[in-house]
Amino acid sequence: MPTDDELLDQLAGALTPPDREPPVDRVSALRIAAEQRATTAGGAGAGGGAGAVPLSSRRSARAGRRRGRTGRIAAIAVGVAAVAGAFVLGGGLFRDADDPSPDDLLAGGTIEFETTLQAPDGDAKAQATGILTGIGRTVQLRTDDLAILPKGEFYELWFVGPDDSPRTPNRISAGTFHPDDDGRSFVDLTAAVDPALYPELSVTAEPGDGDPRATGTEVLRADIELLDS
Amino acid sequence: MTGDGTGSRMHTGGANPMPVDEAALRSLVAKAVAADAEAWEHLYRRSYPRLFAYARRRLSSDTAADDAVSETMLRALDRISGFTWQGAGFDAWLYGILRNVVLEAYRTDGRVTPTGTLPEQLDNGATGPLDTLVRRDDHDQVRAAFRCLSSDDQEVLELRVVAGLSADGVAEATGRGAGAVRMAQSRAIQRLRGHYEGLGRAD
Repeated sequence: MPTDDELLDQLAGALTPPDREPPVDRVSALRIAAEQRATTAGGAGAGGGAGAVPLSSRRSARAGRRRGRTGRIAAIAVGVAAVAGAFVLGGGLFRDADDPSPDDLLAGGTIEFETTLQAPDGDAKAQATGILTGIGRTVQLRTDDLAILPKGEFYELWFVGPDDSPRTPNRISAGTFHPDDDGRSFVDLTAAVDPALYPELSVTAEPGDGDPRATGTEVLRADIELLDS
Repeated sequence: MTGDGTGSRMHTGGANPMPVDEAALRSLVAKAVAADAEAWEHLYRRSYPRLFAYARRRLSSDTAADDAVSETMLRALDRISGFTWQGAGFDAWLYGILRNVVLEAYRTDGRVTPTGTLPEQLDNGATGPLDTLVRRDDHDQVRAAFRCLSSDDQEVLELRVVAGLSADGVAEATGRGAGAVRMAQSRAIQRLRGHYEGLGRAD
């Protein structure tokens, strides 16, 4: 019978995986996220700042838990695959020095507004930055004040237009999210919305009832004041 | 490796958990803290085989395991500013994140039985057909014994023997005390031996 050490050596030999390369799109997603972090944070630490570099990878990585872990990673992979595909079509993944980088393709946004959302009856606040990009409008939402919701529930960010009401809604969802385990909600959401036509932001806590309308409680709200272009 | 199997060990063959030395790893992590994309890619490639194997043994598919590893690396990127070398090291820190990701997957999808080809079912390091057969003979029995263990026993042995974590590292990754880990490992080895010997008698 083998000694303990021999038994563990056998176990190590039996279980140690062979060398294996990670999927290219996953590596690319991590690289892009790191590059975006380096650009936006500028040393600002986790979560980044409100720099106008709304990479799709970061948006995907930060998108709400409603999509689930698999959806989040799949979205990153899809986003990266799209970027990689652009390079493949343009002559390969290993671009020339003169070719645009993924950052160049996905960045270059213009900040349209910066506002602070506040709870109607509480101290909770969130910072929101709206960015016009070549691929749409992105809202970077940053707050540590939202409570972690019960499983199945989530927060939803809305662009709200004039005369919006529960009976006659006039709002467009920018996406859903959930605070992370540390209670942070640092999300980048995208919506094809002109903030000049929908000049308010609202965050609701949604019950996860499958109803796409705003059926939950409003927890944050702010008027949008567009910056001079 | 100490006689009771609780010492530090470094298995060779297959994916190496530490292809860079401690100083190089510290340098790499320092660059990662600065969001250096090259450093993150290096860390991903370096850690991937074993993180994937850990996840694959606990999740239903290769895709689910890849998702878990990707999520782990993204969370590591998010949290690297809070990482310190005062703990059990970078690998233990990464495994701790991965473990939480896997547990979250359990909460979301329920605990599932892995299907398909598991990492250990590959011809690990075999150099030819005969070598493959010999290795399979050597490994099948201990692998079968390992599968008879509880998930807790499997985890402590995998983190110590395959991931190459120290007892302190396993403690940090699993949120247990180092003493409890050593005790758990000792008991897991005895149970592994019991199953191993039982399977040998059955043959």
